[in-house]
Amino acid sequence: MSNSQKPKLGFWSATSLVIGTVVGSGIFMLPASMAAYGGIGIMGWTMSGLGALFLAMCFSRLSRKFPKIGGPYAYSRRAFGDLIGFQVASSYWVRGIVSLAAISIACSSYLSSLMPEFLGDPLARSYAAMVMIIALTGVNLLGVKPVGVFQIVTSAVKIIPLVFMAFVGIFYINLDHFTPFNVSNLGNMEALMAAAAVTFFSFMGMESATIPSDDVENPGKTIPRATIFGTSGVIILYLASATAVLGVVPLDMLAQSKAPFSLAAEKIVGAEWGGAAGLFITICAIVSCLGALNGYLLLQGKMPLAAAQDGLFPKIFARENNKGAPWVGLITCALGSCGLVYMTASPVVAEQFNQVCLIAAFLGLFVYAYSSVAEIVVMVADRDNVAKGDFVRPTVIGIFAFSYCIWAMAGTGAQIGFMGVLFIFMTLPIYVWMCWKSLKPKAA
Amino acid sequence: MVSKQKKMGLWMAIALVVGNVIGSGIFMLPASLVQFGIYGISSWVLTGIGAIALALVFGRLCHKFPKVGGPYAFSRYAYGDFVGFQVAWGYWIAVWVSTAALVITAVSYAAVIIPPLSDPLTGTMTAVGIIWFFTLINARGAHTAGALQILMTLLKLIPIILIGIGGWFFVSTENFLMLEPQRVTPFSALAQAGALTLFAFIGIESATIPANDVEKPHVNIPRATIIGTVVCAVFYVLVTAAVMGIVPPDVLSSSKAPFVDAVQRMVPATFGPWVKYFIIVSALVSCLGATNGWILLQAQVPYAAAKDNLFPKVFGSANAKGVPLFGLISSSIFITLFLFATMSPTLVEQFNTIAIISVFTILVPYLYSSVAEVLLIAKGEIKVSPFQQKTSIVIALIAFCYALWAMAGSGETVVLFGMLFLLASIPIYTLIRRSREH
Repeated sequence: MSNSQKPKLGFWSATSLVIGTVVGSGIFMLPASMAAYGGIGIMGWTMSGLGALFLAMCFSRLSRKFPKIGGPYAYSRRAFGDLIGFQVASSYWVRGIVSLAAISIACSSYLSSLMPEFLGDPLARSYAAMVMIIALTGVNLLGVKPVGVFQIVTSAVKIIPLVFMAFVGIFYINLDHFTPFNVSNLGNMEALMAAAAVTFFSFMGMESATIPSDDVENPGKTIPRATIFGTSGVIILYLASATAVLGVVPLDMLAQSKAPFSLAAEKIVGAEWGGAAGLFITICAIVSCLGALNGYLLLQGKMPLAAAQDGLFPKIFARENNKGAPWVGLITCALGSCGLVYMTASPVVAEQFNQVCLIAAFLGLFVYAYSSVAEIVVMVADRDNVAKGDFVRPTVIGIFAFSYCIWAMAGTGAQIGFMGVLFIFMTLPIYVWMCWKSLKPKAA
Repeated sequence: MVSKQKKMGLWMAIALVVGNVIGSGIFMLPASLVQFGIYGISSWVLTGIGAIALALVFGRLCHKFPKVGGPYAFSRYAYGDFVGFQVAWGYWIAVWVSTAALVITAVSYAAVIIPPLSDPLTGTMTAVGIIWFFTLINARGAHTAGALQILMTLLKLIPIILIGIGGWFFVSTENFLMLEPQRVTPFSALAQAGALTLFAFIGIESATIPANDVEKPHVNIPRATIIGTVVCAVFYVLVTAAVMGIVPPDVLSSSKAPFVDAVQRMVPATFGPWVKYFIIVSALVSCLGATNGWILLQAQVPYAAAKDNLFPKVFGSANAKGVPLFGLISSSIFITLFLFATMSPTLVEQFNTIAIISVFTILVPYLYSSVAEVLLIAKGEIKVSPFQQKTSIVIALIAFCYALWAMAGSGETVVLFGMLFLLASIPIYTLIRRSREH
C-alpha cells in the first residue's frame, strides 16, 4: 500500500479540523441575536453545548471502534444498511455544498466591510466568495498535508478573539447586565429551549475528524481524542466568550450591533484602540471563514469517496489525483457551491437562501440522529460478543444525543423539516440507480 | 392444520382492495373538487394512472414474492431489516389509527338516522361494539371475513354504480360547460385537486398483505390488486363526472351531501325524502366494510415482521385457522383505547395528530415499494427480459412520482412529524433486536 508513505494528519491537525469546521462564520455574529434572551441565553448555550458534547462522545466512541473513512456515513451504513448509508451520505454532501456557499458569502461580506469601495455591489461580493471557494479547492487538491497546515494556522487565528474574550473579557463583566435574567417575552422554559435551538447549529461540524480517517495517523486513537478535545474546547470557548460579551456590552447596544465581538473588544481596550480592535476581529472572522471553507472542502471530497468505494456513489468519486486528493468530489462540490453563490447575487434568491441553509442544517441533524444510535444498534446485532455491562455507556450517551437531535429537528419548524424530508426521499431513485450501476454487471 | 384452512379466492381479494380503498372520502369529494372544474376530473385520471402504476408494481412484486406482509415484505427484502422494521412499525400503527377514524365516521353517519348515537358515550360504546364485532368475525378466519367483505363491498358499490352509470342519463351538458376553474392556472388546479384525490387510493396494497390466506397468491393477488385498483379508478372518474354533470356547479360547490343532491335529481320527487337516508346508509355500509377490511389486515404485518424477528415474538403466533390472534386482539384493544380517548377533548387533539401522522407512515411503504422491483432486478433477485426491465423502470418512476406527490400533498406538519415518529422508533428497533433469539 502506498498509504503508508502518504503524509498524514496528526493530533493537532485533526483537532484543528474539528475546531476549524465548528467555528465558522456564525459565532462572531451570534451574540447580537442572543441578546434577545439575556442571561438565560447562557443557559441555552450550556444546554446546546451538552447536546454537542454527547454527540461528540458518540462520534468519538464510533471512531475508536470503527475507524472507517466516511465517519457518519460509514457508521450509519454499518448499523442500518445501504439505503440509510446512502441517505446519510447524500444529505451530508448536499448540506456541505450549502454550508460552503453560506460561509463564503459570510466571508465576503466581512471582507466588504474592510473594502467597501471594491465589494459594495452584490455581484462583486459573490465573485469574491467564488474566488475563495476556488482557491481553497486548489489547496485541497494539493493533498492532505497543506490542508492540515492551513487548518492549524487558521484555527489558531480564529480562536484568538474567543480566547481573548474568555480570559480577558471575563474581568470586565458588569453583573448588572444579567438582570433581569430573562429579557425575552417568553417563559423561562421556552426561552431556554429557543436559545438552545439557536445556539446548537453553531456546534455543527464536531464530527469532522471522523470523516478523513485514512488520512489520520493512528486513527483509532487520534480521532476520538481530537473529537472530544476539539468539541469540548469549542464549547468552553463559546460559553465563556458568550458570557463575556454579554457581560461587557449593554444589552440594548448588543442587540443593535453588527459586530458584537468588536464592540466588546472596544469596551475592554478603550475607545482609542477600538478601531484597531474592530479591524483585528474582522480579520479574524475572515480567517475563520477561510479555515472553515478549507475544512469543509476536505470532508466534501472524502464523504463521496467513501460512498463511491462502497458502490453507493458513482465510481468516479473514488478517483484520487497523485497527491491523494479525491478531485472529482472536490471539484463537483466547488462547482455546486459556486453556482449557489452566483445565484444568491440576485436579491430574490438571497432571501430564499436563508431557507436553504436551514434545510441543510436539518439534513445535518438527520445525519447526527442516525449516528447517535449507530453504536448501540451495531452492538445489539453483535451482542454475543459484547459483555452486558458494555451496553450501559453507549445506551446512556446514545439516548441523550438522539433525543437532542429529534428535539432539534422538531424545532426547525414544519416548513423546513418538510423540505428536508422530501429531499431525503427524493434521493431514493438515485439510490436504486447507483445499485443498478454497481451491481448489474455482476448479475448479468 | 394451516394447510386445511379455507382461503380467500380472487373475488374476495378484489373485494378486499375495493372495499378498503373506497371508504368515506368519495361521498364528499365531488363537492370539494368542483371548484377546480374540469381539472377536478382530470386530476382523478392523473392520480388514477399513478395508483394503477403502483398497483402494477405491487402486483409484479407479489407475483415473484407472494409473502405475507406485502409492502413490508417487499421493503425488507429490498432494503434490509431496518427499513423493513420502520415500514412494519409505521404501517401497523397507521392501520389501527385509520380503522379508529373509519369507525368514528361510521358512527357519525349512523347518528343521523339514530339520534341517540350523537351522545359521546353511546356513540363511543357503539364504535367499540362495531370494532369487536368485526374482530370476532376475523378471528373465525380470513375466509369468513372475506365473505363478509364481498357482501359489504357489493352493498357499497350500489350507489356508486347507480350514479356512476345510471347517473349519466340525467347529465346535462350545460353543467359541464359551466365548469370553470376559479382564478387558478391549469397546473396549480391539477396540483391542488390531485392533493385531494391522491389519498382516495390509499389501500390498493390490501390484497398483497394477507398472502398466506389467499389461494394461489402469486396469481390471484396481482390480479386482485390490479383489477381492484382499476375498478376504483374508473368508478371514481365516472361518479365524480356524473355528479358534476347532474348537479349545477354553484349548488355542488356548497353542497354538504353531493350524492344526495345528485340522486334527488334522478328520482321522482316522491322519493325525495328517502334519498338522504339511502345515501347515508350507503356511506355507513361503506365505512363498515372498510373497517372489516382493515381489521383483516391489522395483524398481518406484525405477524410477518415477528416471523422475521423484527416485531415482538408473540405477534408471530397463529391459531388453528391461521389467524394471528394476538396481533388481531391487541390491535383492537389499541383501537378501543383510542376510541375512549377521543371522548376527552384534550385527547381528541392528540388523536388527530396521530391520525394525520399515520397518513405519512402509510405513504413511506408506498415510496419504498415503488422502486423496490427495480432494485431487486439490479440485485439479481428478480430475473426478467430486457423489455420487461424497461417497462419496470417506467412503471416504477410513475409510481414513485405518485407516492412522492402524495407525500408532499399530505402537508408540512404531517411530513416532519411523521418522519420524527419513524426515527423515534429506532430505540424500539434496538430493544426488539436485543430480545430476539438466535
